[in-house]
Formats: sequence, structure tokens, C-alpha cells
Amino acid sequence: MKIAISSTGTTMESNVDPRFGRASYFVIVDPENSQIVDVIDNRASQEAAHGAGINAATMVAQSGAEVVLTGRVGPKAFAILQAAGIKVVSEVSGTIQEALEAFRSGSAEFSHGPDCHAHTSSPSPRTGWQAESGQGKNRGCGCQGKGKGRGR
Amino acid sequence: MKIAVASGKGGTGKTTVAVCLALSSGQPVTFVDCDVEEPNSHIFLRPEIEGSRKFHLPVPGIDESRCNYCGKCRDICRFNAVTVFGKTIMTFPDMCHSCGGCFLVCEQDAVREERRNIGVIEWGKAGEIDFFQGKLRIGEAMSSPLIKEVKKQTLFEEKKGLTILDAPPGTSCPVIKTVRDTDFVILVTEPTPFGLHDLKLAASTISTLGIPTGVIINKSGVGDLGVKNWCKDQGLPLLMEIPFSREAASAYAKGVPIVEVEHGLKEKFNELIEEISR
Repeated sequence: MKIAISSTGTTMESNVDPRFGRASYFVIVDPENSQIVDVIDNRASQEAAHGAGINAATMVAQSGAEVVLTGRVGPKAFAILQAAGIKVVSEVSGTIQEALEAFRSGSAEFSHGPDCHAHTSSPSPRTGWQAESGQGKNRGCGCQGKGKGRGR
Repeated sequence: MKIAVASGKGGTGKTTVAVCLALSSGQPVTFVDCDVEEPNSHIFLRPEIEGSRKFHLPVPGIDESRCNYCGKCRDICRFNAVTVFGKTIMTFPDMCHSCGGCFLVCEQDAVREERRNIGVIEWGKAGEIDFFQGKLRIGEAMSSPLIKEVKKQTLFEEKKGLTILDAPPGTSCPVIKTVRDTDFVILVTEPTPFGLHDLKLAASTISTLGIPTGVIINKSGVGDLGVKNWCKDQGLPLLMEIPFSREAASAYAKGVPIVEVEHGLKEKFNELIEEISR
């Protein structure tokens, strides 16, 4: 099994990056032996104007990870992770090591929806991600834009 | 003659000036409200709307029976409007800028055209003036394609007489789309540090397009001399100053064009059009 953790660096001592789409790295860890098996460099996302979450979720889906540990996930990224059958644990903080231990202790709760709204939105019946909107966890995504989460 | 009225800052009086120009010319006038997010020149001009049409952008839809998940559509898209992972393909139409790249690269003929409505174009008559406006769908982020389409509706390329374009505020694509292919840009500002700051931004945007530009100071008499001094330094012609007056403010507040209440203003605008046309 593989777990993808959004990270500010590339080691077990790095901190969990609270952002999913614009995280610097994704550290892919094998929870059986706490070894880093792969690192996805996502730094380019910080320059991207749009669609960072879509791109990050695609890379994570391609990595073969089955679980994501992160801070906050937007609706488009969440839709992709869901379509890929990847379970999401949000509001994770601390170091990669701490996040992994917390997950292994079994205390983690899987998310049922995104943590913040998309920065753009429009009706799009075929994509399905907006079915998730409105399920945010009563917090903004820190974007200072349109993405304020609604309470549930 | 095509004159665009723009500004960096919002609320400087773009629409006020654009409407004054339209009402002061002796030539046949076409008025194009390109501020598609907040088109409000109709409040002054009160046109009778004679026709309208919805405007759609082509966006990708996927025929999954044909798709082989090669990912070429994903890779060509700069805006991440399509993604592919494993045997899953997903589209995000609101990210799509309608470049058409995904249609072209698909060798399986699996990407077919769907349409996404972004707004409506309306046209009609305001007295003798041919009036056009775009109205962007609420929540829609992409106004530039609608602005382009509104201009197309006016038969912009062949248009004779005087065409006045009311631009949105700002310094990015929607402004560029509005002023492109015009003969002259009027930047409307107010004589304050705020007006000057945003005038500098707007002037530097327009200068990249190489279109002759001049400045109108609205609400002249309040504020400071910063704008005037800067225009002088830059060699940017100061075309006109519209004095701050209670009558003008009061007319504006009722949706009455200020040329109807300010004595001699119509003549001044008419002279300005003549001067720009020369």
C-alpha cells in the first residue's frame, strides 16, 4: 500500500503542506516500513494560474497511492481523487513522520467532500465535482478569492 | 473612427465620458458596452433592445467508447480542463479557454464539441445611436471571448462613422480585447493619488499596443495636481478636464447624461471628437 502526503520538503522530517493542489511535494510512503518510496515534485504548481488541484490530483492518482494525507482539498481535486478510488484524510498537520504515525494509529477520519470551494465555478453536469460543493468544512481555503467553504 | 474609453481604476467616469462622446457627435454613432461584467451604459442611453443571442464557447466532451486514455488532450491543455489517469478521463469545462487543442490532438476522434454558455449579446437603438452590449453570465470568469463576440456583432472591422467602446476597468485581457484595433484610447481618471496610481498602470498597458492615447480628468478641482504633472512628464496629452460639480453629480445620480445638464459640455466633446479624428 502507498500513502501520498502533501509536503513542504522531501524527508520524513518535512512538514505536511497544508495545501493539496499547490503543495511543494508529495511524499509517497509505504506505511508498513515507514519508507519513502517516491517523491513527486509539485513546485511548478505554485506558478500555475489555474488548475493546480487538477494537476496535483492527477499525479497522485498516477502514483498508485490509495490514501492522501493533507491539509485542505478543493472540489476538483477531490472529484479526481474520488474517481481514482483514493481516500482522503484532511486537516493533517505536523511532520510527515507524525502524520504517518497518526494515520497508522487508526485515529484518522476519511473526508466525504472537499474542504473548500473552487476558485471558479460553473454548471457542468458531466463532471460531477459540483455535486460535492456545499460540503466544505466551514473554513476558507486561504486563497482570499472566491473560495470560502460553507458549513455543513 | 473607433474610440475606446478605458481606465485602470473603476468609478472614474468611463461610462459617463463614453456616453457624452456618443451624444455629442454629429456623425452616425455605434455604442459598444464592453464592460460585460457590469454593463450599465444602458442606464444613461436607455436603448430599446431589438435583438439578442446567447453566446457559447466550445468545450471538450468525451466519447468514452472511443477514448484510449492516451492523455494527449491532458498534456496539451495549459489550463487543466481535461485530465486522464489510468482508465479515467474527466473534463472541467469551466477551466477551458476554448483553444481547440484537445480536439486537434485526439487521434481517436473521442473529443467532441460541447457548448458552454458564457453570456448574452444584445443590440438595439438609443435614439439614432446603434447600441450593443454584452452581459456575462453571473459567476463566469471568462469575459474576453464575450467582448470579442460583442465587437463582432457590431461588424467592427467594416464599421463606418464613430464607434465608441466602453471598456471594463483593469489592465488585463478584457481591457486589451476592448481596445485592440481601435484608433484612439481615452483614459479617464480622477485627480487623486488613487486615480494617478491606476492611470499609470492603464497607460502602461495601452502603451504596449501602440494606440494613440489621451487623458480626461473627471471631477477636476478636487484632489491634487499629481495626474496633471505626471501627464506632462510623460507627454501624454490631457484632452479635457470635467469640473467637479453638484449638477453633474446630481444628474449622474438620476441616470441622466451630464451633457444634458452641464452647459457647453456637448460642444467641448464634439470638438474633442473632431480633434481626435484629425
